Amino acid sequence: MTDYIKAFRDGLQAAEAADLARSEIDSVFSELGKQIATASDGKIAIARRECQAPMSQWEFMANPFKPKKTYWAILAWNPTVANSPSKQIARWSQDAGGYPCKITCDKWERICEDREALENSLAELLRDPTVGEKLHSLTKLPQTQETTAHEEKPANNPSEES
Amino acid sequence: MVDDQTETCTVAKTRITFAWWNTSLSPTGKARANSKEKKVASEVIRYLTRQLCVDCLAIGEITADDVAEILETCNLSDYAFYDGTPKSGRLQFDTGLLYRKANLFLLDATPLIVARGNRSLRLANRVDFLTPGSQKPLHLFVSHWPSRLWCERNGADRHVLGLRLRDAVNALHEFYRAQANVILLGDYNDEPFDGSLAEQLLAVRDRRLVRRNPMLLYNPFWRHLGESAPHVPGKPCRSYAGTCFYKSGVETHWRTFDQIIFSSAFLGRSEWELVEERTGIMHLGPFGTSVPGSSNIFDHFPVLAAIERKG
Repeated sequence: MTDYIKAFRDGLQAAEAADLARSEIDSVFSELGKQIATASDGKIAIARRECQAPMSQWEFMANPFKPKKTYWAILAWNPTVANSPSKQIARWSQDAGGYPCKITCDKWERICEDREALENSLAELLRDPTVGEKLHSLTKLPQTQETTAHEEKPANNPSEES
Repeated sequence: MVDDQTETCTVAKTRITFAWWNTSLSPTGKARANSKEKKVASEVIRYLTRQLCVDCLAIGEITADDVAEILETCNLSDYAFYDGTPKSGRLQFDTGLLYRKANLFLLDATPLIVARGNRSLRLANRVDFLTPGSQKPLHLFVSHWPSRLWCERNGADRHVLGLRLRDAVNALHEFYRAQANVILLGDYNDEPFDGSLAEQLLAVRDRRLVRRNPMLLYNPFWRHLGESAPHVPGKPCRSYAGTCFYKSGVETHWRTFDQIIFSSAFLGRSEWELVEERTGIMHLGPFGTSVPGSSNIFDHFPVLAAIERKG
């Protein structure tokens, strides 16, 4: 006879493990945000956000009322500037169970199997000169408000894709 | 002569021929070939492109400088080069693609990396091409997986590489909601029967099963595991038993690490069809390297395959 009780317990255990993995990923991004805010005097915030994928001309002509697709991205913006443009520094995706998670930038795609791999990959992303240029341009925006580096920003479309 | 051949190669464009060759010129980006060996490599590439009409030649263990020299020596002005040798941290990619401009239009290319703990592994260079008269792209995954010296046979890292390459193929199938035109080629440092390729990537030997379960991939290089020619009493044996040669091998000196693998789309499910009779290993005997690695740097033979557009 199929052991549904064991299957049920396995499912609960898997859900718990996935929850832990997702929390771990959140904590990695939280630490990244804090360190970057400190290093940039609060002029750069980095977080994952859901963005709308632009519809190609071909897709629009085929069906202008088709719901727009969304994707997740790692965005950076300057929270000391009112209506700061946000810049996409990479695309982001993660498995329902947390890992593997995927960072895709102009130059590579990294599939991260665990916390250490994710931390190393984010560091590699920050070392990229294209990303460096984007972050540098954000710090040069004229300051318009006093605010905290972790100011929440709603999901939007990045002004510049990676 | 070369020009005549070029014309022959560019005319019949219902067929596209692919090849992979681990050139051994510059492993992990470090040049080691002498001028004589570079000359041999150029002759092999000239033969592949001009005589065998290879449209898309993926090459491994090269640098951009190696390729620039080859392009000039071979006068391959009808080919373009995709340089897939970026460095990401300490990880050095070492593959690239020569492709015939008239037959293949490069859409996109991305190096894929698997990060596991403090290790980064080269998974593949994904390269997307469009062919004239076709709406649906061809997606190539060019791989040079780590040597068994650094990543042991059946080790966890090798299984992860197989799994993640499988994920990348699945993502394309999901995108199209149908079987994508996927071709995987390279030096996997694993044989067709090893777990990473057979069980994780699901690259199998059984065409009938692939037709029945289109999520499987077909690996024609299962047919190239043994001696290339039968034993004939009293005749010298000029046979070879794989794509690369390891002198220190205990149970065999030969391995079939170099392979070209196809999605089920090429078994009657798309406008393209695998031409299996054109799939095989190119012996380098005529270039003075009948036993690879014996007295020179070359320890791999090129492998070839072709697809044909259905009438």
